[in-house]
Amino acid sequence: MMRPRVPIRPLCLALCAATATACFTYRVDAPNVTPVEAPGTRGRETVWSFLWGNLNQIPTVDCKDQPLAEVTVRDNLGFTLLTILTLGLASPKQVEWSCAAPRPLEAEIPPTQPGAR
Amino acid sequence: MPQTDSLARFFDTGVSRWTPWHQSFEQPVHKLYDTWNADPDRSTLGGYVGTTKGLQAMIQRSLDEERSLRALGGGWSWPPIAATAGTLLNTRPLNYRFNLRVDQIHGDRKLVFVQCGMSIAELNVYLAAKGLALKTSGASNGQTIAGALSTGTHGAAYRVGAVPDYVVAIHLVTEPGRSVWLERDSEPAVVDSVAGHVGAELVRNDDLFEAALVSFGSFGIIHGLVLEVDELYHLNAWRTKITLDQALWDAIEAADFDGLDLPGSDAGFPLHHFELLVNPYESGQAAGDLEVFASLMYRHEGACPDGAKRASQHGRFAQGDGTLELIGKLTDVFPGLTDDLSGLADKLKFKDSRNVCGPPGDVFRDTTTRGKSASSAMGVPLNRLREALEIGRVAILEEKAPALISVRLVRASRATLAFTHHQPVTAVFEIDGADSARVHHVYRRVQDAVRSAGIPYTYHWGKIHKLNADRVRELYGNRIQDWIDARHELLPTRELRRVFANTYTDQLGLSD
Repeated sequence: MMRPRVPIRPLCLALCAATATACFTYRVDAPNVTPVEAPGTRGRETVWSFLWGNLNQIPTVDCKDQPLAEVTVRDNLGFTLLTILTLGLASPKQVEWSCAAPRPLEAEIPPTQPGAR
Repeated sequence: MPQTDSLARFFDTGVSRWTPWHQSFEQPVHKLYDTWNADPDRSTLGGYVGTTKGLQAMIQRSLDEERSLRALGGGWSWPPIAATAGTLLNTRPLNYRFNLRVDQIHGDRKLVFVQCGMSIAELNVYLAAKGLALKTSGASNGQTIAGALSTGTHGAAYRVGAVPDYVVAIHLVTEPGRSVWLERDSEPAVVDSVAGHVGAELVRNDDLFEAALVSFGSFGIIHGLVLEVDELYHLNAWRTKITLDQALWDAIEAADFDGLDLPGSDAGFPLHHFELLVNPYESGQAAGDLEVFASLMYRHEGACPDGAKRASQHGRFAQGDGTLELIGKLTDVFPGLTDDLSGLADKLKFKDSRNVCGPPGDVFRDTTTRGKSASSAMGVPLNRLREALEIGRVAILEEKAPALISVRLVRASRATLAFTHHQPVTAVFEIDGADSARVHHVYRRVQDAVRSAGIPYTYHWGKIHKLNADRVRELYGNRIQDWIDARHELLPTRELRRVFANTYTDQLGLSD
């Protein structure tokens, strides 16, 4: 009688899928901008949504006059379990954001010699 | 005297450990400062000169504290080329841009003067708005221009070269009270007054210039660069499977694709970009001609051809941040999975796309690769590529490593330490994959096998290599001493050279 063959590959792929749940990542990149790191231009916050999405925490983002460069929303196994256990009453997500480098206006190099008026 | 606005602003990030983009190591740092121009919203000559003075003050502080100082760009390199236990200056916010008038330029060419932190993405936008474009760039666009220059970043523009090949002047901050405007003597870039306006000493010297192009931040802080650019052009891209048969090998070895029936070639526009992607695991590759994925781009000086699809920024899917790391760990333990996973990656990453067109900034776009990954790129002469490719393919298969191979052709560079210096065109043979033990075994095997076969080779400085000081001397010969002599001339004291050295240059025998 043949012993059933252990499906190693599907098991490994299932393990892969299960482990990957530790870092569901959704990212929005603004095209052709450079994220710039400086005080207040990058942040990470865990935000909560309550009552099946009827009350949502707003992340604190302040890019001064610059646009956002990138927003990343992360989920993990713990967040997912919490959402299931509370039947959707509370659902956390981690939000990361970074601001774009300023795009300064172009300048000219003067045509005269340095120091000339 | 040049007018000076406020000095640069240095913000202490409070970071004590720094990790590069590809998470290839973690570096303890004394300080990591973000460096900003006094007025980040408006380029001014006075602001630029003020930032030079701020950088010089940082050099003075590093001399006083006997610490290493390193300018940090996009942080895209795998080895610790930009790392130091001393002070790191994040230069990404330094993105001033200056127009150069026709009467300020030597010769009939288009030049722009930009600050070191400007990313390739920003440059693409800035230049497109002026009706201009970079001659070439890497495959994606997050590097800063100074970082891309300093490591010899390249694309696959086999008639053009790499980033160092369109830099025509460098403003180098070398010591407190001194900065140098460096150009070739044989091909001056701009009129003398430009150096005066930025408060720099004008030095025209071919040897110093070629050495400073690829110098890893070891010649001082590159503050500004003059780039030779082209009128805005469009690239008509074709990505599809082709057979790497004898006719194609002959064309590769001659770097001449005229007359070859390649996808997209029937329109008669010149081939600009030649790249092949090889999945060693693809069935039927063990014997005979290889089926490879070709990425071919034709240069159109005018608009895109009728019927071409517009190049878009992203596909609909990208791998997760931890995917490559997971693949690396899984295949280290279960090597039997490598074939399936590599095949899957191949199918997801390399999809047929034909007749797509856009300006370079839309074609070479934001990378979607995040997290731990590995990449190693070797430069070899065209007539030895076939052997090197086979060595790499066999090593990947035998090690069951989750890795793919790409081949790009790059015109040989004049820069002293350019790894793309194999004449007349360098074949860049790259192995990309997960950051796993098996992939690192492949890198070691390939280096040993290529060396044993007597194939002349070099390595991309910003990617994984297993070089040391002896090996670097063996590969670059007299070029190393020329580079060191140039460094001594620009940094005349031992103390200054220590400030601009790090463990990477120590390991390669390039610090003294």
